[in-house]
Amino acid sequence: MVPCEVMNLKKYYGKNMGVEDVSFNVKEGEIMGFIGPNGAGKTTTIRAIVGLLKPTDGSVAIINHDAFKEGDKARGELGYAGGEPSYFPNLTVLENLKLVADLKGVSYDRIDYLATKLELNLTRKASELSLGNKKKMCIVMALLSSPKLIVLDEPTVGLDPIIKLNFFELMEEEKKRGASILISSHTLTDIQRLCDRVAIIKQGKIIAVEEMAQLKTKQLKTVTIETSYSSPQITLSGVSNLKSNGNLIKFNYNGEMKKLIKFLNSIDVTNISIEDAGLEEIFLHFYE
Amino acid sequence: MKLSELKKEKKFKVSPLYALERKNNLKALIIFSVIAAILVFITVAMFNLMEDTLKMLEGMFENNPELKDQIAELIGSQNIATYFVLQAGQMWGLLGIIYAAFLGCKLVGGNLKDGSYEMLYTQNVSRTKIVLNKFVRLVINLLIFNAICGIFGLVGMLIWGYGQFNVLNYFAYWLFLIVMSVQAGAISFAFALFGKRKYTTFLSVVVAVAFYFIAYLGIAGSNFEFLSYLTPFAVVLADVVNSGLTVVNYWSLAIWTIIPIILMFFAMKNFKNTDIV
Repeated sequence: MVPCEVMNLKKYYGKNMGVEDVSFNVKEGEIMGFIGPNGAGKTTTIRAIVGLLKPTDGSVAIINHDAFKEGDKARGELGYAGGEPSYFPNLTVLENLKLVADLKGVSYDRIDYLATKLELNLTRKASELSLGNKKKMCIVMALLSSPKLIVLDEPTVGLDPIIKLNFFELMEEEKKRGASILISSHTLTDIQRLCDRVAIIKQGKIIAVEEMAQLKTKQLKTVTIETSYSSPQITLSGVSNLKSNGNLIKFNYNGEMKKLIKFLNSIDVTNISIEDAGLEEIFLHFYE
Repeated sequence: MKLSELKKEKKFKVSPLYALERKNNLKALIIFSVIAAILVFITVAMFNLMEDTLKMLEGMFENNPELKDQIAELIGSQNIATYFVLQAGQMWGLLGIIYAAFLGCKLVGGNLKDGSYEMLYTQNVSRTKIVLNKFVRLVINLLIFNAICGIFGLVGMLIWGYGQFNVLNYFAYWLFLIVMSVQAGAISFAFALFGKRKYTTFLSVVVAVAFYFIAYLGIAGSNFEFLSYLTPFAVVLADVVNSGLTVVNYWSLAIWTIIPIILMFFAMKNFKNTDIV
């Protein structure tokens, strides 16, 4: 059983395309990253997964239930925290959490643990919270019922570094429990740290779904060189994201090592550093 | 708060959705009900002043009895029952329809406006169930609103018009006001389900007030009588407290009972099968 299966999802808003032919899945017990620039279709896809949007074509299945046609059943297995915190502003944090627990039909047992873990004050009125605290409240809402599928849209925005660590721990705990997690984020280091796989979306289309480990071992290297003269010509093919500052040149390289070494021999290099590209570089590489 | 304390916390005795809507809409219910009830009570209390005014008018228009009668008819000062329908009843009805329109729209649009819709519509509760809970809340709040106004009006009538009106007719009129406000609330609710964020509370109140004035034109002259069929108001503009059920426009009552049911059916179907926003 695949906890979340997105099949040829298409969503149009009138004539405007939201996403086009999006397909990927989230496997049991994995953390899946979902990345892409603003307007690429991340939120549209996520909102279709949680049943807020009706697909124009294609479908989303959550634990074998159609996310839109059998929305209530599908959402029974789902915990969701959106990009914009969603809550009842006139209720306290505890009342909001109790409401979710009641709607989900679960006990209040996990409220205390999760709120302590994320250092969330339960007695404050929800509307008076800072953005970070609102995000924490929504994360607790998503995890309250120990769902099989957790969908989080930009969950780490506004979280301070210590709470972020606690959040990572919580995600690891949920994974160990067997939950599947889909996280969309702009913070690629978060994705790199947490995720087993990543789906990359560009202009409404999925352009890659990769194992995180595989993505990291892609041939893409970040090369930093210092030369004895300024602005040497970089004529090597496979170079991207070239940045030059006087004698210092930084670029990404995707190609044979032999050719790189041969090229470096042809210019007067005084210092050199070759590293595996980080996710951010790989991400930019996909978007070029 | 410790876990042990949380465990002791009682769960909602009623449906959490029902309890939520009760809490969210209590303030508006109290404000509308108290203001409307006090106005109804004060208006009934002013009947004696109307009698004095009529006597003053009789003196002023001694030479023009026709004009005197027209003014008396307009004010409804012939007797307290007619006066109640023309003055207090219309105020009650107008405020009722405004409250119904406001609440019908707010119940649906409130979540879309404050962003809570994402949290609400991503739980394992069907959209139909959420919407039905909201509609039940609408009906209950309208019943409470009309109950408070009705009690204040009845107390006023008993104080200043005891023995001068038929209490059963008063209850019938009360019932028609409840029906009319539920009809208006259902129409506003259905429009809000169709329009979502586009159908604002302001627009819903404007539509409700427009209904009132169209109906008023309908009873103003026989040439415009057809207008009374165009709104749910016609029933409560009839002098039921004085004349009883014989003056009720049953066609209008039937039409405006069927229209909201049809609208609600299609609005719910549409809401269930489209994007939330």
